[in-house]
Amino acid sequence: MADIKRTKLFICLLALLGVLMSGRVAFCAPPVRIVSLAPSVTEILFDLGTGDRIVAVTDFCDYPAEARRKPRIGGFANPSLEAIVAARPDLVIMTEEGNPVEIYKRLQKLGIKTYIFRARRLAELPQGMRDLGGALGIAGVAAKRAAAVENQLADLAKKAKASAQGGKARKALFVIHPEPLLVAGRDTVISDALMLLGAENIAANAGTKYPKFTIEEIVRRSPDVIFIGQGPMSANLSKSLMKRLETLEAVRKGRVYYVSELLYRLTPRTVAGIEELAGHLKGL
Amino acid sequence: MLKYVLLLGVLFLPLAVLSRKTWGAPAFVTSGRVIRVCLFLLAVVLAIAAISLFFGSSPIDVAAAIRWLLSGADTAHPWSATDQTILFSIRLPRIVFAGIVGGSLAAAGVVFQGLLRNPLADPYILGISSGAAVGALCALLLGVAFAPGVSGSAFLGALLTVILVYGIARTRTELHSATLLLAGVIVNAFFGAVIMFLIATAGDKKLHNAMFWLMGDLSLALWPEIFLAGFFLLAGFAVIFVNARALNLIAVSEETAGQLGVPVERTKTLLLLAASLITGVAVSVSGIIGFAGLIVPHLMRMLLGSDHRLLLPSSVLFGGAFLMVADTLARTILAPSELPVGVITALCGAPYFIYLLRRRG
Repeated sequence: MADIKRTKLFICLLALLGVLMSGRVAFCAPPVRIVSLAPSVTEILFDLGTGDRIVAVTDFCDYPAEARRKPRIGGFANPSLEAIVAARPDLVIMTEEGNPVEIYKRLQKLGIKTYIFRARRLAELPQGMRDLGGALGIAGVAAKRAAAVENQLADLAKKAKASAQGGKARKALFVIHPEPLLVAGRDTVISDALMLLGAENIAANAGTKYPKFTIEEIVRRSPDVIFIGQGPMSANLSKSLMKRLETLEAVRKGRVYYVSELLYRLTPRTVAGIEELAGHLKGL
Repeated sequence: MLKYVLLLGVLFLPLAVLSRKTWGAPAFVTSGRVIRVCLFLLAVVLAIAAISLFFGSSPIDVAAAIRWLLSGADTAHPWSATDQTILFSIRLPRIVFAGIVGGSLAAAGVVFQGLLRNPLADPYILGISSGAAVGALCALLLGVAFAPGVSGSAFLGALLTVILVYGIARTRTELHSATLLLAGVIVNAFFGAVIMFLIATAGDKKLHNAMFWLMGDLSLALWPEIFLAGFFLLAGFAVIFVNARALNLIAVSEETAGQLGVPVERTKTLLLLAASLITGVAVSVSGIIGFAGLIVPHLMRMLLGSDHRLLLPSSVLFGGAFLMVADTLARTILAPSELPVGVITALCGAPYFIYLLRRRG
């Protein structure tokens, strides 16, 4: 009897050792069960060719189409801790802004590895992609993609400079939401994009990133061009805004452009969004 | 669908039992009756906690879990480690916490309604919630980087509010209920404006966090916070329960209570402080969860009569059960997305409350 017990104990210890060892091995290997807590991170993961390693995403992760078919773990600001754990991730990728810090703390307590994607500005994107690639064990691929993005951005800046040729910097306003009137303010990717294209964001000195702007101030600063981010109802809602701004030269000359929402997320696709702005600015 | 019916049934059917003459008729309150009702409600609380454990965004293999428990947690048949983490590190703390917060809010509601002799009184009537909200928002939005963190600064805000309101309302000798109410309303309005200001000037992604805090969130509490809230509930409950008899008299008339030998001013201050402290702790760790602290005491009073010796413990227990169910619904109905629990407490609570009012009238 005692012998059997001892043997059992021995086997248990062996099994435990095995589990510990395998845990160790898994710790060194690149993560293969990734939970992404931000739409931009999801896009970048797919861009780097690691989409198949993603086991769960947020409700807002809608690009590329494959991302929509991944299991969901809830919102961006309120992801479900339980759903994250249930996905049995070996890495949870979060962002500093948007994801609650409490989730980060709880994941740490539960012994789940986390990676924080820190890039927030346009210029930080390539380095952010490189760092992420390093953490995923695909530094080479990431470096290539990051360099491509860098080249595209430099190219866009060069072309914009060439077409401006000594002309005065054009003043632009980017409307995120017409009613209430929210615009892209300082320290945003949109502001970065406008600056890259040699345009001046007239809301760049606002106190917050997406300030609620007054009509009066827009009229006073008189932008040469107005961009309106395409939301589900922006065309309808912006009608009354256009009415109130009808004295502006930009409105009278029809320099109001509806642009896609590509600039709302910092991903390699942001470049396409900047190209769109560049196309409209070029004609002025 | 069936499981939601089951859950709501376990919550509401006991009320039908309680309202039967033998249990509920507002007759004498004897210690036997108190114990009987409380044991019954305790059983309801435990049953709901156990059922809620198996509600969630991810399915848990219940049979496997039970087999594993029955076999004495045998390592030879390891039950999923993920399931175990989800059950014991995520759901269990949340359920316990919901119970404690629900109980706290109900206890505070009982005291405020009784002392202020105002049926509209709830735990937040003295502005404690908005004070806590200002504290929490300061930490969340302005990134005030000091040790206590969000719930710490929320508690600080709650505490300062209590001191402020009592300071305003208290004259040298006495604490007028009407003045106290008005002071609470004013402070509430003032802090409401501060909250609006903070939100309007934040205009950032941090806003999400702030909004979720304001709507109440039970998901992120850790065991130390939960134990702390539990301790405050127990201590506050003890203080209030000891004074339940005095509270009965004060709820009728302060003058009569004084003539019958109750030290009215001292008792009032003690009870208000106890209730405020319970509320402050609950709000600072869970955010603002409306309606539970208002409706549960009324519900219990309708069913069991207004003797605080029975009303207080039964409200605490049913308040816990009520919030557990509300939170379980909030986290599962749209799983894996979560609703703010306050949405559920009002959506479920209000119609039932109206039904009770009409039936009585």
